[in-house]
Amino acid sequence: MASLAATFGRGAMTNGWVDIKNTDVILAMGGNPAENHPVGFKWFMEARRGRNAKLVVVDPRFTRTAAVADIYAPIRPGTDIAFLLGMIRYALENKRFHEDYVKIHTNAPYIIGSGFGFQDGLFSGFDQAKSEYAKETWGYEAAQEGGPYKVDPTLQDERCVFQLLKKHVARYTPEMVERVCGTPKDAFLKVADMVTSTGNAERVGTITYALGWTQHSTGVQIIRAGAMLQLLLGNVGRPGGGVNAFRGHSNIQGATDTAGTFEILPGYLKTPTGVQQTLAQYYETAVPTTLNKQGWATMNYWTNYPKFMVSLLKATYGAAATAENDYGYGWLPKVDGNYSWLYLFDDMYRGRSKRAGGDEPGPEGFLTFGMNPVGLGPNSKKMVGALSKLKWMVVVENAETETAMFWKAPGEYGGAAPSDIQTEVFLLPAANFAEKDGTFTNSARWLQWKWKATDPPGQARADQEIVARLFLAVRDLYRKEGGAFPDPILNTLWTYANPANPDLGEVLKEMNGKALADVHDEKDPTKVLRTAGQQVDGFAQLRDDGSTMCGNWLHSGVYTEAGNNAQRRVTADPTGLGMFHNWAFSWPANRRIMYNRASADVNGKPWDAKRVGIQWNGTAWTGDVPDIKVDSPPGTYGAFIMLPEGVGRLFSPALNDGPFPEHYEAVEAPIDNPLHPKVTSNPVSKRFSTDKDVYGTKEDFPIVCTTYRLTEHFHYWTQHHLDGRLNEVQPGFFIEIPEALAEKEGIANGSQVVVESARGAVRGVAMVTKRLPTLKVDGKTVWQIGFPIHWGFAGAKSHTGPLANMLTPSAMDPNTWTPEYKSFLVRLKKA
Amino acid sequence: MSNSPQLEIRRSSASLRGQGTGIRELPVVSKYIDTTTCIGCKACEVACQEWNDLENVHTQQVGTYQTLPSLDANLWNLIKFREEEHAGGFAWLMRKDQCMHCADPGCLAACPAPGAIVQYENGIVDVNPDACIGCGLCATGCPFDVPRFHPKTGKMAKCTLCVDRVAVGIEPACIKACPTGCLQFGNKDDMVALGHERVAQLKANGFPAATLYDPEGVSGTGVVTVLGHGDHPEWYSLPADPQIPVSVFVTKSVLKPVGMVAMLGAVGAAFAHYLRFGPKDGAATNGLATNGLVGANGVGVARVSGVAGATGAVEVEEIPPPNSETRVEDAVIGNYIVRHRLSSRVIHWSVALFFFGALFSGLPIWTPIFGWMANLFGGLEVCRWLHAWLGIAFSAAALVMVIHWARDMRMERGDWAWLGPKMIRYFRRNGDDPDTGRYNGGQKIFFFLVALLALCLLGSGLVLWFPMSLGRPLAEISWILHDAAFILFAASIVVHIYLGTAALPGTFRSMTRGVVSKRYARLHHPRWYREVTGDDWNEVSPGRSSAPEDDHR
Repeated sequence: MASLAATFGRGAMTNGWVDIKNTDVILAMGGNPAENHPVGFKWFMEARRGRNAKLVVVDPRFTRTAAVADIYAPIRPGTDIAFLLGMIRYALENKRFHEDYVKIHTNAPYIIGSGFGFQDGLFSGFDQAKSEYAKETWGYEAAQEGGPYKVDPTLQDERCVFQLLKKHVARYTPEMVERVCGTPKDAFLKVADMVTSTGNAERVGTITYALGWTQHSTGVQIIRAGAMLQLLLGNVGRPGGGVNAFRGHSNIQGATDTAGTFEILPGYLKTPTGVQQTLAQYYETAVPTTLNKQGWATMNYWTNYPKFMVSLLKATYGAAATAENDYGYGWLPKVDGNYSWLYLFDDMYRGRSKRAGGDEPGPEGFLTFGMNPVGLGPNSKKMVGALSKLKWMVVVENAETETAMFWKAPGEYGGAAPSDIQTEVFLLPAANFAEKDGTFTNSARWLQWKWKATDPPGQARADQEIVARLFLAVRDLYRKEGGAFPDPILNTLWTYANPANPDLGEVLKEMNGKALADVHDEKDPTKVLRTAGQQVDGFAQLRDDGSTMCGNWLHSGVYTEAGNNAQRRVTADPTGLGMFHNWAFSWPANRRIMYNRASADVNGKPWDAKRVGIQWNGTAWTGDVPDIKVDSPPGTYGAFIMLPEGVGRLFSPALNDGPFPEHYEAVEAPIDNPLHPKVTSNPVSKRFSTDKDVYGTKEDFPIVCTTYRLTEHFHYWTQHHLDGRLNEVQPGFFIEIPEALAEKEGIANGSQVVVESARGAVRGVAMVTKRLPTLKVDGKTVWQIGFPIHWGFAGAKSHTGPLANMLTPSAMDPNTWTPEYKSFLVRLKKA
Repeated sequence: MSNSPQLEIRRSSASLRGQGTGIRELPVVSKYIDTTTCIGCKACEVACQEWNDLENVHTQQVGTYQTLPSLDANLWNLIKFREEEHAGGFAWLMRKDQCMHCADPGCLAACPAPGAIVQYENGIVDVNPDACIGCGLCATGCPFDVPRFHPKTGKMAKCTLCVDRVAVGIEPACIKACPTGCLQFGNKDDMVALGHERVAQLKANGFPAATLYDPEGVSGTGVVTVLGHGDHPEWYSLPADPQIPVSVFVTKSVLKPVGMVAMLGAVGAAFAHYLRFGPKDGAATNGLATNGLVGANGVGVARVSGVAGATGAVEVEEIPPPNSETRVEDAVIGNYIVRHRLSSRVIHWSVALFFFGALFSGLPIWTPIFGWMANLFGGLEVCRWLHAWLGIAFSAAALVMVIHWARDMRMERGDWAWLGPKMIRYFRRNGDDPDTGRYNGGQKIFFFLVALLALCLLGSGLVLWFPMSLGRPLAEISWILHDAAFILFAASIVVHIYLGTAALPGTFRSMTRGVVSKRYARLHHPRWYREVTGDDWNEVSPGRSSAPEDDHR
């Protein structure tokens, strides 16, 4: 998601599930939608049946998605960037890109400062000591200080983004792709030809991906390469196009939107840091400066940031938030350093926390809701070891997970004897998804209300009740005992009808936001848009003067005076494109296709009259909810309103590992990087340094291994379903092994084998298959095997199995700190 | 598994009434399966089990994505996975396997239980558990290997095409659950049209052999399947040209009428023979033969036997009561000779009892014409297991019989001629063979025939007891063999009974009281008579013409 925000402005699927039916070509890469998103996959099949669309699958395994694909190409895990840059090169060399689109909707014409360069695998600004980039040289060149940036509309200037990109990808010839990825040249060319067939106004293609792109030490840049390819092909913003990220949980999009990670507040507002002591200081870095000063202007929608921030503070602290006290900004925690969960676990394991120059004891307690870190974290032994260092842990779950029972993990997990573990564990039974109301926000950004199907059993409680009771108890303690800094807790607005168990409809209303005083039209102050107490219609009615409150500006519009829009279920589709504007609510502003201004040309005429995103009718934009000021004539603003330059970024300074993607080998790889062997893997990827964070060499561990999910199971949850149907149709852990490797090793289908990495070993049933191709990489034969996650030591005896993450490394992407679950080295032997 | 009142029945298994009970004509429905858009997610498997309340099947990972090797009584819907390398590349094929709901269902044709398998007017083929006897013959009749025996219910189980849902206007559970739309449901015409449309699209997209599988051999199926590789249905574990097995035709259309004719014919022939030739009791030459009860004094029953002696005098003598002497075969007691000692008679009647038990419990399974006989045993379902056990008992008794009579039944010179001219002469009463011993050649041949048929019935019967366990070819052969053997056996038994009662007076008594009169012995088994009595037959029966000497040369 970080890379989509860096390229387009927002970190979410650009289009929507249903919209996939409008496409001509689908590239499914870094994901296995047939297995992991089978319901959404319906629209793939709809596109094939209805439009004769072509499905292209690039995957290390011949998956169930590949089984119904038109074109399949194998690839070595972790080499997607080489493949994608190869396609970008193919598009540029063969003029198979949408030139008119590229000129008006991307930063291809922008001139980059002369300090930028790339040599021997490193971009300019690399700091060897810190293993980080200084990004000063990664910027546009201004004609004069503070003046407009230089552009070359002809794309000929050798320092324009277009030419720099062309030069950067020139190395990724089909031969190099074959050498790096192991994809036979003709298979690559077939894929490239099909995908770039959409580089024009007539045809549209979409790219779908999931964790197969994300979970690498170069994950964010893989996605960026895909996003750039789509910009070049002119496929972003158009019905049937886009870069469509498929989320791994039913509500992960909602979690991310609502401050799912430490560095963001709800609505992707930034978490303040220590140096930002006042709102004004905070805005200085949080609100981007409008960049584009020539051609057409940019809306730079983030200039509205203060409205969203103040409304959030009002929603958090209520009447206590006043203009005088910066709306309680001072009560917000300021975060210095990395608090993503793997870092927290590293602190736990080491028993020390070193951040912002400090050195203090590691965490002593841990509270976890609906998450199973022992199961899903990389390097399971370290996870088990980390929890053993805690004094207490609260697990809120609907089953006794591996995390809840880490202290009795089997011996191979390397934990101490239960009698030697001092952690006090509390397991609070929680209601599951069907036992509580609320919304799911799907990959397509639809907030859909769900109704409770049944009451939770026994003493199980809904999460909101558990959170509320904890909050009330903590607040009572602060009230009674004072404490070091009680203000944030005591001033928190908590006005729910039932404070101990807030109704989620009330919470959703709070997130939507309401007027605290009359809200006037900014253009015509005599006009009252909302009277005090009314729900706002959307984030456009939010104000930065404390007259509105809003828990999440991005979700604003979900619960208006018209009611709970997440409950809408109208199936009318006047567009015929599957937009369904009256079905649920889609953020932002019920828009179904983001960046839809790019679906039309410079004059506001749709690229394809049959697939209209929006179009200019002379006075207004019509069609989908326009992603542009509705009455701004074509030529006024750029299509990417969330970016300060207003155009899609082929060159983006936002990420930590380069303005362009570059192929780096995985942290554990079977070859050295053929492009630059000295900088073989991502130079800024993050790793830990404890005794458990060990890595194998290609000599000791010659086989490439990957992990994945199965359609029959849901993460680590369904194995707890005793005698459940899903355990019947997919009964246990297995290891997929290519037929030729099995033959060489004398492994029979169904026999027991052991797979070892530098970090641990798993044992399981061999599934010998033709679906894992043997690859020729950089002149040598590379074998790859794989196995599914889903099993662990918790649950009924008959459904247990090894944790796949026993073997995975904790090397991470430098932007999102996502571990490299998808590519690591192992060895294989008969059990 | 529901006998839905909303749906009228077009065809019913083992129905005497034949076809068509429906007044309304409903459009035929069909499932549509597009294997080229199936992703093998198994949602249909789970939905099927959920809707039909099927128990979980115990499975374990053995190195495949497939839930089970084949369908199960608790898994009526199975995705079959197959990896296939072919000229055009590599394919991972998935097909949803289930009952195909044939227009011409082999299961229904094979089923012996009236109404146990029905075909509704809308084409759905369903098992009615109330009527099903769990015999498994439907599995033998199915060209797609679908019906399964449910050990818990003792009934056959298979996909019902969710007839309970369809009857109220909603699609089957599997269709409802399918996420990709590779499963559709509707009127068959529409589904076929959809299939042809998809096939045309596939042909244009690099699948030149794409086809819609709707096999003619069973007059089409209620499940039409789009195959990308239509030239290789076996890759999808589908038969290229499914037909109702030939065994169903042989047993149902050939052996059944032939058997009826044979058995009724045997009765008719016996009757006709009696009318033409009457009983063979020597009366024609000896003047008098009266066997029967002539009186009862309230204390005991005396049998009056008229034996014509040389003097023509009539003797009345008590049949010897069971005592030590009657336990020895061939003992001459007055005018009587012990022909069958008690053990022989017990064995004979045991064989007979079990035979008739098996026959009467088997006939209603054979054809519904004898359906009423099932009531004698408490219904067809009882017959299903009782027949098997009676068959075992019959076989055991027959084995004892074979051992018991083995010595007596050694074939001798001249006996083989009974296969031909002697048999004809025997029935035409064209003179007797003076050299006939204790058993004539015909009796011996009958004995061996019976032994052989009993063996056939036992072997084939055991296979049919568990028709799904030993492979279909064996089940089919056994089915034909069992029917053929029993028809031959039953017809032979008719003749046997006729000869043992009406045709040859005195024979029946030999199996009840164990003795025959000397006259009977002289008449039917002259050499035996001579051997046990020492008498010369000519002295005793001067009026009889001698048999031609060359007959037994």
